[in-house]
Amino acid sequence: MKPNFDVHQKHLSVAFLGAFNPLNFTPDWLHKYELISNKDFKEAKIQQLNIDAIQVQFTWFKIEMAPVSFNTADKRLMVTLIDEGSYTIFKDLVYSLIEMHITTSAYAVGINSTYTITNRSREDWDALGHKLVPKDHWRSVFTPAHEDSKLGITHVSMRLDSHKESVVNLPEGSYTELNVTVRPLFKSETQTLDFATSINFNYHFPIPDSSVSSTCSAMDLVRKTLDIHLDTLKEEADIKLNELASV
Amino acid sequence: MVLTAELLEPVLNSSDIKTELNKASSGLRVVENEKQILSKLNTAIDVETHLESINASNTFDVVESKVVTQSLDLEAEYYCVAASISRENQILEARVYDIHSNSHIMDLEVPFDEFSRDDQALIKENAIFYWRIGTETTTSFNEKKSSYSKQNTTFSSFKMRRVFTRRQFHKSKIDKRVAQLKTLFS
Repeated sequence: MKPNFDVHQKHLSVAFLGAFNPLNFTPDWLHKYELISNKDFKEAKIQQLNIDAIQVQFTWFKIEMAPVSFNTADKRLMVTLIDEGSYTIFKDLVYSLIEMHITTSAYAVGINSTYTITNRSREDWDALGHKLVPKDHWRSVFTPAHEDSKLGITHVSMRLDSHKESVVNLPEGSYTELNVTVRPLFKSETQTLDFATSINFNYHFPIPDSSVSSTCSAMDLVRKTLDIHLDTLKEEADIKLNELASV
Repeated sequence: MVLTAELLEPVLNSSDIKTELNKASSGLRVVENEKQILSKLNTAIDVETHLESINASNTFDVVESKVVTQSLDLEAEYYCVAASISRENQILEARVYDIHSNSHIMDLEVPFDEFSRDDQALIKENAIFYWRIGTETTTSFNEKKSSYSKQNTTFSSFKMRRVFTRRQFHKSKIDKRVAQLKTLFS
């Protein structure tokens, strides 16, 4: 099927869940270990930094960290590639961060591809929404007497369990996941957008405690997961986007 | 730029003083006394200095647009291994490999100044760097027009590979400690 949309923006990110410390991800820390250049260091913008969280924007990537929930000290670390042309150096950065935190406890890793697409007409945009969530049932339940009333999607998500193979044996009740989220968009960071949609593919890989040993840390398993899946899922997300969003 | 009353007042005073000086130079009787004229003259000089410093700092009129994003569209990307280095001639010879197939494509001579200054500090034998060729798109925001614009430029650049290795980290720590200990015996 030929896509009838344009990809306005594409961001790839790798997310780590574990006992990370925001202070180990400041621009000066990354610069000290020569992971970023002087230029990157000077152009870095710290948007938020405290004992629980950090948000730093670089020219070609960004780093975000926040507590996973209120009742845990664990953090979600997200390293996002903003500029697709810098994928090779992004991989170097991600693997370097893993190596730096090789003994840090971690319990999951995720590979995310987030797209902002724009349809070429209102009809195509509506058709995408109707394809994902047919409106007839909703209309018949809530507005049977008002056929002209407006209703539309604000957020759609779908989870597929055991979608990809894990590098370790997962205990019962634990699965790899593919979480797909779709929501309409009305503007990007730089401009107002017509008929735009954000589509996110989150490939989630749990790292159970039972698979961690003195010779193989959780971050070793994170690295193995990325070795197998990062390149292929980056490509696969492009294909799935075309299949999902073409109308 | 918004001119505040505070900023405008001395400017108005400076035009007053010019009028006064013109009157004086044309031989007319100056009504105000000498002290008042000198005071206004000093104010006028201060205002001119202030305006010059504002223009020099480029805070508003000159800085019309700022870069919002930069993105690369790569036509080709290779990784290169520095095979030999001539520090005298500031040039290195490298073997160029395809980044996907790892096959050897060609050999290349690269002057040091093709790298950024901090990348030059990382040049050593067997160091890996990337050769990237493509188009760079810069999106800028024009504050005057309140609009975004895009500019495309082709580029060919060399960028050292930056990776964290525990051995490298420990080596630098040990070197630092050795240097500290040496000072004790010197």
